[in-house]
Amino acid sequence: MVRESANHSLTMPGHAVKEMIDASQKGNLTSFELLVHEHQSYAFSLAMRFVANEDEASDVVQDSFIRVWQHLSEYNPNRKFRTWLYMIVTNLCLDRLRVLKRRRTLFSSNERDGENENVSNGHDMEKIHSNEELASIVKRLAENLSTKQQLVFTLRDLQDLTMEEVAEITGMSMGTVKTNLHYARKEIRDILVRHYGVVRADV
Amino acid sequence: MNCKQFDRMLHLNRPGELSAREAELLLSHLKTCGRCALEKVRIEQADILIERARRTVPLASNPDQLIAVTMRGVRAAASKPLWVSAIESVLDFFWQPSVRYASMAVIVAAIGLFTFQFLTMFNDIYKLELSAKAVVHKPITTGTYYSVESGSLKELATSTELHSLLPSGTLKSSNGQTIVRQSDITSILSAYGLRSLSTSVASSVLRIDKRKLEQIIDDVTKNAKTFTEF
Repeated sequence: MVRESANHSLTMPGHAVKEMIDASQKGNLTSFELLVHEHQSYAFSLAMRFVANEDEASDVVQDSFIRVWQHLSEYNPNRKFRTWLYMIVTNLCLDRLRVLKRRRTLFSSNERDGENENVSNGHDMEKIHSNEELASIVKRLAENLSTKQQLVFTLRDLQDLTMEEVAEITGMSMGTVKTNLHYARKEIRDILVRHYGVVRADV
Repeated sequence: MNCKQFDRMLHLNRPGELSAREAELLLSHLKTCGRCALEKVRIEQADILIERARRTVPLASNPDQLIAVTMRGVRAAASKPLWVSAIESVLDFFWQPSVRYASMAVIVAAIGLFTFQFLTMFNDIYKLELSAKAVVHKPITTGTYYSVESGSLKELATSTELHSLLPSGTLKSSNGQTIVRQSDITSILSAYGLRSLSTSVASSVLRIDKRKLEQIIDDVTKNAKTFTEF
């Protein structure tokens, strides 16, 4: 299931989120459930950008919130809750990606050879009707980047976070984020333009 | 600046990624460089597609169920005894890939060091036993004697503790002075060799009290140069 939107929006004001966190830190599960309600779509969409399917993404979301609950006492209130949650989700996704990549290497070493070249098989700009299809192509292209490049590209260009948030979540310096972003974008843009040629803004 | 450097700037084209100065430089470069201007067009074309992918936000098909399952997990975690959670968080910590690899490296290094020490220790024990044996069986001969300005050696002159290391009579008391034969100075100083071995092991091999042995080694080390001809 996908939704089209310019960006995510929270329904709860910032001070309310803080109150929920305070109450949760004191062990109030009802408040924590409200936090989960408020942030699950963020967590899920980020997880889906990284992992293979909805089941995997749901597992990541569950594990992330359990981890948030267990480590609430360590949460620094000066930090944005969303950034902290994203950091946890990202780390869990990376763990899963590593396992996935290892499995792929073990069982199908040749399967992905030249995948970038074949990403457009059966597609051209006229045939890509849905944004969902396009998102899936971009995601596959991102999967072929190095882990760091995939990470910064996904957080910055797909999840639309600020450069500062990306640096904080990944633990990279701003320079490293920019370098990885440059290579990631170059790779993906090159393939997109090569395979889909001139595109119209109103598609 | 060359086109390669401008290429990096071209790809960092979203708000907040370039400084005002960089943006200005890039703009003036694009006015004069057809190749980079073309690249900019290509980038803008690709960005239309990336923008469409960004707008596509994946959502859970059943968010209520996801929240329910998540909260079930959270409640289970909340009802766990503290010690179980503590053990789990320790295991989680060690399960992190970086910690896992670092731990493995430490374990391998520790095993390597232990093996090295173990082999070296046996070698040292063997050498020590050989030298102790050789000293014990060395016939006492006459030679030049030196006085020893060393408290513990003076004490040992009348002791039998060092018999396994030195032939009896090596250290003598004469006219209130402790004397040692020139040929045995080397034997005593070979105690330096004990430093390469743990004193616990050495003291056990030589059957000498560990503290006594450490005292002898320190004493001989400090006073070796104060041997004076008798």
